[in-house]
Amino acid sequence: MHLEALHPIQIQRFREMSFAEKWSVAQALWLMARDARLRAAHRANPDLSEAECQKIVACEFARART
Amino acid sequence: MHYGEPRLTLDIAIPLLVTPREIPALVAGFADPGYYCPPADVIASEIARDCRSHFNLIHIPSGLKADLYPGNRDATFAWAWEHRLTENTPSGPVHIAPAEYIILWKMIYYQEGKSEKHLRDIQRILDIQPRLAYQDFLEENIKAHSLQAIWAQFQRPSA
Repeated sequence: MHLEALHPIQIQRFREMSFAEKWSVAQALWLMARDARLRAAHRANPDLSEAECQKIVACEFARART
Repeated sequence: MHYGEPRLTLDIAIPLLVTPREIPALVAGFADPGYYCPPADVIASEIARDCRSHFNLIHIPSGLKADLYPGNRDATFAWAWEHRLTENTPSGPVHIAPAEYIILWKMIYYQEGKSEKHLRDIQRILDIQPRLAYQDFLEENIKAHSLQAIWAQFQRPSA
């Protein structure tokens, strides 16, 4: 496994973060990923409605693993 | 994530204890059309397994998934529940497994599936909080599950 070392500033900040702060960062990352996939679904399927594209993305996320 | 770095995840892992009598309430709590929840008989067969019980819940509108791991017959789950960390949130208390339990199971899953995301998560936990409170539990289970070689590859920053 090759893993880039965390910067000392990152380590310090992650140690200071509360549960709510980490959860908030993770939620923001999830929203960003979902928004990117939604825009990609619209580009790939220009004839589909917003609801149909949302459904495509929901299916992708339900099958995805991280 | 609680012990390591915040990162994107699409499936939360939830160890839980659920008895056969509690299955109807679980199914009712995650009903159609908002959720996918396996039928009660599937959950019953999963919790009857001696080990590696597992089922999913999916929030259908978002696609968010929870991997649920019933620990009814797992001694490490009983230990983790006893040593759980509780965070109070506006939505109510959230119980979080001890870091040592997470590290142990990530090593077990890495041993079985070789997914390097588990190694990354473990290393990040050790980077951010190198002092483990329950080292005895971890060492005992590393021996029990023959995980010494995996454990040896982690870098342990000084506390």
